[in-house]
Amino acid sequence: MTLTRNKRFSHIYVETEVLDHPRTRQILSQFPDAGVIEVDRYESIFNRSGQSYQEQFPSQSLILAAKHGTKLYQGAPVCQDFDNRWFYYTVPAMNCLYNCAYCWLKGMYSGADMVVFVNTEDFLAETEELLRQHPVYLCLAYETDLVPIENMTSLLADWSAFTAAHAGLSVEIRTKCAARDVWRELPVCDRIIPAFTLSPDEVVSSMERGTPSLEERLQAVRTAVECGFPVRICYDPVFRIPGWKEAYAWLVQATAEAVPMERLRDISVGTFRLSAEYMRNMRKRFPDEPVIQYPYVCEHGYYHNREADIRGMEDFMVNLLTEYVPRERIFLESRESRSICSERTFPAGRVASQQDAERGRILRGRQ
Amino acid sequence: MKILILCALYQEAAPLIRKLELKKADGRHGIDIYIKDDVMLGIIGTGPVRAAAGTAVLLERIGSDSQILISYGSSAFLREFQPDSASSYTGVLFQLNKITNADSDRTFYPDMIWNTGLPEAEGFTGSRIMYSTDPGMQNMPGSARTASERPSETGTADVRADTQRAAVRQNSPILYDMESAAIYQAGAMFLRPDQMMFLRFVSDDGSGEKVTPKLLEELSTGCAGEAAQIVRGLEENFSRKEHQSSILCNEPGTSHGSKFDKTKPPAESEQLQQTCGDFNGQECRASLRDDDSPQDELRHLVSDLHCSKTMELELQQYLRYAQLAGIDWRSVVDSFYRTGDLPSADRVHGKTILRRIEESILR
Ligand code: SF4
Repeated sequence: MTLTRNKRFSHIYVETEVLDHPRTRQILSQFPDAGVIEVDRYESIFNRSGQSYQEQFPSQSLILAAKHGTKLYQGAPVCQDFDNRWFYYTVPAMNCLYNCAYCWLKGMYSGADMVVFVNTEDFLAETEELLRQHPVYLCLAYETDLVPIENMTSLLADWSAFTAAHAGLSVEIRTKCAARDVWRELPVCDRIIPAFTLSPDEVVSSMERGTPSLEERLQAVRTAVECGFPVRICYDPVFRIPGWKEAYAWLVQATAEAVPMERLRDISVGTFRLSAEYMRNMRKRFPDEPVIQYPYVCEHGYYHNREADIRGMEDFMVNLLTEYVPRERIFLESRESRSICSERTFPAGRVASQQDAERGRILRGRQ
Repeated sequence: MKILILCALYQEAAPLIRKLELKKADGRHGIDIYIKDDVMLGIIGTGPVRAAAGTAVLLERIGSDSQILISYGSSAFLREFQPDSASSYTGVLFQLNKITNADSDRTFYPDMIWNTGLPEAEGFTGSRIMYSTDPGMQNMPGSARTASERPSETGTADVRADTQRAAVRQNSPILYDMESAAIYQAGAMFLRPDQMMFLRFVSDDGSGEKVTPKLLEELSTGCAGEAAQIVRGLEENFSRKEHQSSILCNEPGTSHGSKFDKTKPPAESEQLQQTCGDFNGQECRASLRDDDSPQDELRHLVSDLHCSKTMELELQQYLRYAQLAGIDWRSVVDSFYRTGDLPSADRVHGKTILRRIEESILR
């Protein structure tokens, strides 16, 4: 007789402080069979030393906590993301339901457990404070994908309602999720930007584990566009897999067939890049992962493809895409230094305990 | 030795020894040891000092083979926190999901990744026998009582949180023993949080009633069946995983957890990680050539290219990637031997050849 593994979220750790928070209650009510374990501070479980991502992920635990201190982090001034000067990002949750082989979170965090900060009201209050000073462009899904957990958390519902009511605020919701109801239910607003990461099927099946297929994602993109959201498509990261040209040509063609390209807000293109520190961690933790063991070049503390390859891949993508959208709506990560939020391949060196202090440095470090 | 079971007393261990048909082996440092196949049980004595020392001694002895540590033994049920249900818990086997060192107030969380089917409890470990009537027990760090009485920031007791906490606590009895936290702390020097499991059966309610050796063995006998099933289940899992890994590793020329293998479920390929080696060589069990180990191949190539240390690391990364991605790097290298470019004349030429190897692998 073998012993089976516990299912995802069979155990939920709850900070004493938020035991009675309405969002905690709402989330716990959806897991009546889960073991609920009270913790003083989420760090005592999330930051344990010697954790194994691989072993934890199939039985991923959920941690419900309150976020203290700074909740919105500013990008470097030179980093005008998609022409937005006041670029900020926030972390309403950490870690992800998906298991992308190249995800930078695996280099930053040693464990696979997922943290959800339930005190959204404090995040919104800080945003409101900032909005009194200037407009804000806010990347919401920075260390997670919020869409697949929306039914559980309602975080996007709250953020979207808040965004719709605050003219100075724009939010980007980066996702690989194919859920379509989410877009039907959120208030449509030209400042709520769903940003879908699209990859060829070869990449989805081999590297973006647990994520929906390309076809499913394209349907979700279409739904979001039809609902009236200003959708961004992210071909980021583009990987130099064997036969990459055919794979990405097919991807762009499939996108154009499924999505009214002229109604897209913009498109971002980027290649894989990761801080040296995270790469070191990931190479040690995932010795059999080709995408991590690829011989990238390390320069100025970052691993990336060879310069000529980056140019080649970006030019190739731009050539394909300009058949459907004007060049000025295509943003290149490497050349234009615009796309701060290149999902999850974003680099830097820190651990959760140093997060707040280091977030600013991360963004500056990338310029 | 993959599974290490630790017990404080022989009376706790005996029923499990019988169930698992373990045989007495050579002990060490006064620790009696029982072994069969991949399971080792050690009787390490009572109290945190002996527990920590015994854990370290045995884990050191087993070395990197050990896959999981199971701490099995008795505990007192803290009646103070659950006044109505004490007696019904006696003889029940629990799995601890949270362990607090009552002396230092430090709390530890073993990963709960295995579905043991056991009810769960929170554990407190102290350095002496305590009774529920002890004043120290009332103020135990992190206890329901002290937590609920802690004033909130506004200075008033948080009644709502207390209600919610009570609901959480209702499903989580609190057990007291003298070893768990020490075993966790010593074990954490060797193992990950997912490699430690704590099983405790309730022997008494902490009211001071005497727990005789006979009673202890009787209670353990009632729980040993469940514990043995868990041990066997884990044993089966580990050997299955190892079998899968070795099949994969021994297939010449195949990639480990291959990049473009769409048929393999992710979880499986993840489990296989770290079991297969790489061009660092130490763990690799895959023979890439009948007559040459991967390390030998790398060594020859390094020498034939006149590699500097930097070139060697580069080469190692190319070959590792090629191997994982299923790229036939040997044909590439062989072609240079055929044309006479390898062995290269000097390092300058070696560098040129290295670039061409890179081009061929990454093109
Ligand atoms: S890359 Fe994005 S979708 Fe994938 S695991 Fe990381 S956060 Fe989740």
